[in-house]
Amino acid sequence: MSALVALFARELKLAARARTEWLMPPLFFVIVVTLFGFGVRPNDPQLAAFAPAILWVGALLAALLSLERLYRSDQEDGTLEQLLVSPTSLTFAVFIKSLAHWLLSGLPLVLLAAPLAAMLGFPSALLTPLVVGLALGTPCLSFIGGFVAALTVGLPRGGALLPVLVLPLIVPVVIFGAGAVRASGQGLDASAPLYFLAAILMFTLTVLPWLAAAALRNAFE
Amino acid sequence: MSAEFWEMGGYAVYVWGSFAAALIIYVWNVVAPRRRRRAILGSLLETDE
Amino acid sequence: MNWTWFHRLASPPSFFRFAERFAPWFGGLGLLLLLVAWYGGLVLAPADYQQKDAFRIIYVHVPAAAVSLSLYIAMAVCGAITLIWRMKLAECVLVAIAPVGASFTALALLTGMLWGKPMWGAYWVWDARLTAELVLLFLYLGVVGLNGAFDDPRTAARACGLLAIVGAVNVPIVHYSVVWWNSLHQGSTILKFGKPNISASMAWPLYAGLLGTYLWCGYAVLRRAQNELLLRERGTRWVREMGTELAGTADVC
Repeated sequence: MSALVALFARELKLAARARTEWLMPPLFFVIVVTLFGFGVRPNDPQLAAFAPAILWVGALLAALLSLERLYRSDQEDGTLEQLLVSPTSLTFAVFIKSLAHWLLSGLPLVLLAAPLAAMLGFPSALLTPLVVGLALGTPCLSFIGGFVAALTVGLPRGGALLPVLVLPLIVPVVIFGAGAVRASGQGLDASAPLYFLAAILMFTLTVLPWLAAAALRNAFE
Repeated sequence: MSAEFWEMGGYAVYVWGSFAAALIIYVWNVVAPRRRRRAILGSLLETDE
Repeated sequence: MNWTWFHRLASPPSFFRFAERFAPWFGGLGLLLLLVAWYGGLVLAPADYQQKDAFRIIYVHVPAAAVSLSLYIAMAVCGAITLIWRMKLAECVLVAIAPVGASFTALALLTGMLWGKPMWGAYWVWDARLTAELVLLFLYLGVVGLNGAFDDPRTAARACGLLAIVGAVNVPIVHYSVVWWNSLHQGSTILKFGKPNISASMAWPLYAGLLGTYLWCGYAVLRRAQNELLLRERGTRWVREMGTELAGTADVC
């Protein structure tokens, strides 16, 4: 247990030192969303209708940006091999790493979503399903992405492969996440898609670290 | 074959397009492994000599 | 139950010989059935009273869609066998299925679009089956790409197995999420075709085409699995013997 706490502290400490690493995804997110604003004619009311899709896709792309480095630097400096041979459960180590990834690159996006949605002319009444959806959906991205990053660790072309493998796996997250906003926009109850998202989150939290650990062991056998 | 057959009641592009695409995929599925096998057998014989 | 036959078949040399003997039958019977099915579908079957001649696309679309799903299930099962029992044959079949499945998924999507345009008025609608099929194509291509990225074929196959299993869980979730997603905006203009009362002259070419396509895929997968076995077992005695044996007949098979 103390090893896992140490691992978690190490992840945060490393991130604090390399400030560009955790500043890049939120910045990227902001740039992507504002570019959509420039892409349409000024003050187009259509933009508000597309706001959930824009925010969700922006969040996905921003999360992808940092996923490749999730295991790469650990592999380069040998930490990953140490984790593999250490008596600590690799599954929990993977869980901790994905959790740290979400804290550093997922949580800022959730917090940024509200102001960016306001920029897109998004009705503030729908802000709750949007932010709750992102809060449930972005950890799914970190855990699904963590599994794929484990699959492609150490591959020379891993960086190009990662988005191709992640995107089909996160289709349901996007559908339910953006669907929650649309549902409440039509005056329907948004809780059903949010419960679905929560179910997907529970599934990814429990099953994917285990599979990611298997992928890491396979890569280093 | 009559011209009527090839016209497919006005849907010629869609029907023949589908069947042409299918033909390409079916043929590729046989040709590709055969070419690969020839290449592998060639390299096996080279390393033997 | 006696499992010796299974263990014997699972050993690379005997599987290779088995495939060598049966692949031509798969290919030959498949070709025969497909020729009959296409002739029956294009010439003998009467035009549909509602869809006219456009319905004939069914004879390529439905078999392609059916094998794309069946092959994915087979691939995921091979993935599980690869990971649990580390069986070399399952690895080869897993890797062999991916390109075949990808090609038929692409065909199903393409013919579906060509069918959709005259019938629905649009090449693409975001309905559950189309979206799930598209995700299936991405997953197949992901397996092909992942397999190609590794140097060691055994590591590659196990990584592909993990991806195939996660994908197998993903596809039904995508399907049902889209069903739910579409049910949100009621009164959509998508035409839903129920099970049509298909007459016998229209039905038999479809069944012949389905069986023929399954056999055709069986041929492709057997041949590709053979190639994988040759590559993985290169340097062993049976491959050297087989190599010289096949070198003379390479143009015939």
